[in-house]
Amino acid sequence: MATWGNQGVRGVKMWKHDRSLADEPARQPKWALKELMERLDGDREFLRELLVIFRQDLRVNLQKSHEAIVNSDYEQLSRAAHTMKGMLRNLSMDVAGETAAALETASRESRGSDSKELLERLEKELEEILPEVEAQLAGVRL
Amino acid sequence: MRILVAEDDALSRTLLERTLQRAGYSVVSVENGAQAIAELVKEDAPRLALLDWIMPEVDGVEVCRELRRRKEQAYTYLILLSSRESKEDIVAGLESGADDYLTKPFNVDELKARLRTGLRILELEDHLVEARESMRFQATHDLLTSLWNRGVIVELMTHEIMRSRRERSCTSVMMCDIDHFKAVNDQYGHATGDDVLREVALPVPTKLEAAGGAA
Repeated sequence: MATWGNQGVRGVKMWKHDRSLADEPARQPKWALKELMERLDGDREFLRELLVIFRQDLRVNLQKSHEAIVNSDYEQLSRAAHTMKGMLRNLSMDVAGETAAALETASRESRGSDSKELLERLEKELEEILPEVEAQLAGVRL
Repeated sequence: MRILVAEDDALSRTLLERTLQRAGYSVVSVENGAQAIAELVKEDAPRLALLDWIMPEVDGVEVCRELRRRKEQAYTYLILLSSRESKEDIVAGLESGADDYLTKPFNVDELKARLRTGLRILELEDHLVEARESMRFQATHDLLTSLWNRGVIVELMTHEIMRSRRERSCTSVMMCDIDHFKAVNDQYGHATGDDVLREVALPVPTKLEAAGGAA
């Protein structure tokens, strides 16, 4: 059965919004590309279309997140984290998706240092994924 | 079948659009709740809508509330989409007037199944409205001629006479009859007699429409 995300029924159990900073690194793949391609019916052109949107919107939302951290604007940070969470989960980038979810929760609760640390963690996780994204955009099959 | 998608996130919106198009739907996409309301109150609005919960300015829940406040138009089946997943969230979403609720990231098969449920509900709604209108017509009109029946005309005349008294004006009543109609029935049979009645009654409502009505 095709699913948008590596979750159980209705995505309830696997997503941990309250993932804490001390959690063990998740054992999920950084990017479940195979599973994503199954959901896209193997449509590589559509994958590239989505990745173009992802790359552009991710950049914008990371920028907004940094500004929000500097200004302690937790509402803006929460909105940006929410958007990134949705994008990452939709693309089966589940580890980063969970970090974005944790960042959304931390920012909603105005936890400044946690938010900062989670944003750093999210960027590190994204650094591991983005070369693969670029390769897909260039048409290289990994 | 047309379906409205209201989603501010471009990637989710694109995914939804493509998934729905592949499932045979014609998709109308908007980026926020205000645009969703504007689309859904149009005369030829889509009857199915997928609404993201969190959108700037007007969110999905407010779209549901606004549409349910407007009861004059045909029923729209509303599904809320959100990554919120607590029981309280689901209850709040449904109490705002949503018919169903789907968590994101969505499951394609589940989405399709829930839309099919929506289509069944809309079909049922259309049948009920049709049946109600048909019953209303039958209760107020003569079965043979489709003119207003005795009950309605007595009610209307009472109302008109009261109005004319109140406004110190006049009410005109015109009575039409077919002379020697029995001879038609006797010579050509009742079926032909019925045809004659229908033919005679046919132009009456249109001619009297401006004046008030015919029975």
